[in-house]
Amino acid sequence: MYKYLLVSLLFISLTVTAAPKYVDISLAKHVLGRVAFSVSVDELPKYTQQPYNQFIQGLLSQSNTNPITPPPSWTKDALLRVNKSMSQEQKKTVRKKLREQSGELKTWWYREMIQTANPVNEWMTLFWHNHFTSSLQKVKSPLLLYKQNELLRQHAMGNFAVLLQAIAKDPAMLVYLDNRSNRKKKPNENFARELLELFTLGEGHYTESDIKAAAKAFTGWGISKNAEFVFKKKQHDNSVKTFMGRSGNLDGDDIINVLLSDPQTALFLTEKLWRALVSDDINSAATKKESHRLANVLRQASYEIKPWLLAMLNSAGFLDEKNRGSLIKSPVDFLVGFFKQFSLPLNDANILPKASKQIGQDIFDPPNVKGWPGGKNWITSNTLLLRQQYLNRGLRAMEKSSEKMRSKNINMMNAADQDIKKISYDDLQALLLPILESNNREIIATQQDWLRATRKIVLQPAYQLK
Amino acid sequence: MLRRDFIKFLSGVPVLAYCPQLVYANTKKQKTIILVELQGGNDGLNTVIPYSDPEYYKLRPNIAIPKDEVLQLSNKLGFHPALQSILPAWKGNDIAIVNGVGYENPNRSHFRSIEIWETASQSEDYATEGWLAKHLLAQTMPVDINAIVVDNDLGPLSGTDNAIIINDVEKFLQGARKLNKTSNSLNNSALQHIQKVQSSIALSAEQLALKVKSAKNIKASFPKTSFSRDLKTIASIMAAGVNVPVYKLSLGSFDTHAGQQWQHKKLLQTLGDGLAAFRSALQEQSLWDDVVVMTYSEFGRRAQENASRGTDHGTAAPHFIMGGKVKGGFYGEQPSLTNLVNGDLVYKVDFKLVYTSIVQQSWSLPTVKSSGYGKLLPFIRI
Repeated sequence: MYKYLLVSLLFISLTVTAAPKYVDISLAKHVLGRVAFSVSVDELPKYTQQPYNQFIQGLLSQSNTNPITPPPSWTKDALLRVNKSMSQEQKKTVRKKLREQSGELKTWWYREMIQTANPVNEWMTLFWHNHFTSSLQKVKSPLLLYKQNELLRQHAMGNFAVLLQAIAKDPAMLVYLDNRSNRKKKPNENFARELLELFTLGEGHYTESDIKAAAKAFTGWGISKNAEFVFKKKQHDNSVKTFMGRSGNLDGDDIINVLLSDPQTALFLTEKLWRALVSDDINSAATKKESHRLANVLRQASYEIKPWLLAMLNSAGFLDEKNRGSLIKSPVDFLVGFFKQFSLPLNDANILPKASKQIGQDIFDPPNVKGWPGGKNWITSNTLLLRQQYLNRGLRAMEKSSEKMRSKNINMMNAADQDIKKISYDDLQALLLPILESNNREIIATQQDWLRATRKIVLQPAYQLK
Repeated sequence: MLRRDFIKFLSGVPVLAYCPQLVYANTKKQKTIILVELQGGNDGLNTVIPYSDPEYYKLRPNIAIPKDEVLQLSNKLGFHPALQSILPAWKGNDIAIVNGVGYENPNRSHFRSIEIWETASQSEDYATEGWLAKHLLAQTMPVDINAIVVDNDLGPLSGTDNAIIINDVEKFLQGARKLNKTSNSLNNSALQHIQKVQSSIALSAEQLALKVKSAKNIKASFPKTSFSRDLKTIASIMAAGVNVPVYKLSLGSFDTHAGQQWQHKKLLQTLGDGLAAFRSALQEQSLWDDVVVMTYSEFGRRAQENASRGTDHGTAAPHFIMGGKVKGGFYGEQPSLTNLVNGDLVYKVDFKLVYTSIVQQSWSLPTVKSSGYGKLLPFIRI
């Protein structure tokens, strides 16, 4: 008797920790909501009825990292900037042009996030934008920010070591953290400090003298007139520096290599991805143990990002039912997700940069080098009211939109549950919310019903969760 | 009055000992505290300038403010010329300048250092509750809304119940009317947070709506900056008679690593012009005597300029206390420019002493145990 009990207990613990075999609506919604900005409600059911491994492998296997939205035409032009020889009038014209370009750049990225065929790569691009931050406000060049975005997208699921080396030489980054004006006689510590504190080790794993040594090692890194990376030999400090216990005539690349050889770097990155992907909790004993295991995956894979991401999507924490709907959608998750779920017209994407800024996430303009604080900070009395306002506006637009679009949404509902044909309020909730708040079997029969039910569902607090 | 009972409940036995002071406290007009965060680390040496010290000009050959441009306040110190518009307030004895404000074992990370300031913790301790949260429980003025934040970050008010963020009063009320009433018992802390925000919106909207109807219009004109717009929002809520003990707003970014002259000038101008307009508006409403405005920032900047005509993260800096009942003048002590530690100024006044001095004098709180940071700075006329 007790033998059977043991066996069944073993079976239960296995089913809890091992990846579920088949994907249901709830799991598909969980994964897509966390790493792919959600998906249109009519597509959601298509992801079910397949083994979990096949599902996530499929999401991560797309290798195309080129955007499918054509970038603004000026991205092929030469660098545009204000220079001292210009007249007041010319400067004004250039500044106006740069402001327009900034707006176009932001709109372009929102469009790409909505329509990309490789949404996981795009989500990771945004993750790295929040890690290796740079802002238009400081860099003052939409072109350089575009190029940085290209770099992040290209390596988003590539290799972190390669990405780190490339970002240190990225012109926008050299401007953003003042490394371009880091000279032998007067080192500028800004980049060195953030490299250690925010990009690799995290606060508390280095000393002030490590920062000073790193700043010296990076002296001479800069950009040319055409804003390309250059090494200015004469500005480089060739003295012996001691950094994290290693001494020698270290240069910037040496510093990066020391940081990559430190296991703390992989742990720091893992905890950051965990908070973005799994849960705010990184301090419980179980999570700590899991973070160390996943950090080891990243190191074992020589900083290849894909196996690391895959391991996290397969981790018990990510699959734990308790973590469904436990994160608050970022403004980008919220807005891009809303557009995707209801197939809102792409023309309306022009409002996204401003809307997103108002609810706390102005892409290409993070508040500071630490990026967006996120988590519960996303929801304040101000941003919550604004989020509700955007939902109301979007729904009103949907109501007034063409017959064709409305019937598309109705067809979605039918596609979701082909056997029953008619779906209930709860079925619609199951497609839209990560956790269910009510029990309502009322059948949705008409377009009016559908709109009313949708409004009621998305205005619930649970719609703010993923 | 429920609130008073709650405080008694919290303080337990010592409540008797506090009673005489509570009676005393109530005979005084309590002040509204207005926190102005200078985000990014303001360069103190180019704000209140030690223009008579030749060392200042040696350390900053490119970015020092020439002596003849400094607005002289004493024979040693003077304002950056961009602060011209608050000179009348200084002359009217409405500005206290606390010199050399900082803390032991300074941290030069923006994020860690502002956390230390916001939570009033030691450099080595990690706390999450904002420093004002517990003082708000102890203060005794009537309260409609505990705190209003006009930027996006609760900061020193983290952990305060019924602290809300409002950028526009009308829009806030409109939105609050549309909010669905919800309740949920799921054990999900993210969801609970959203629900808590919802109920605090509903509660505050109720209080605001009652009073805003009868609000007086502000006549004083404000500059067209978002900082001034935020100050105007605060002035309007105060004029409507809504009881709010604390407001917070911010201005930035003061993180002037490169080419700081133009940027710093523009920021100080925005600060000075905004505060001057705020003073006029509150004087017009006879409210200027009821406020204490205080600036703070995560750190000052390195004494020596860097090669990019900017300054790197530093330590101590001066801060301003403003209001109709402020005793103007200098407090604290200007740090020496020759006795630097790692190129940084040595602080003279712990910021925690400034905090204690502010809350105890603004809210006439029963004196707490000696803070260990020195005698209270008597910059408010009680």
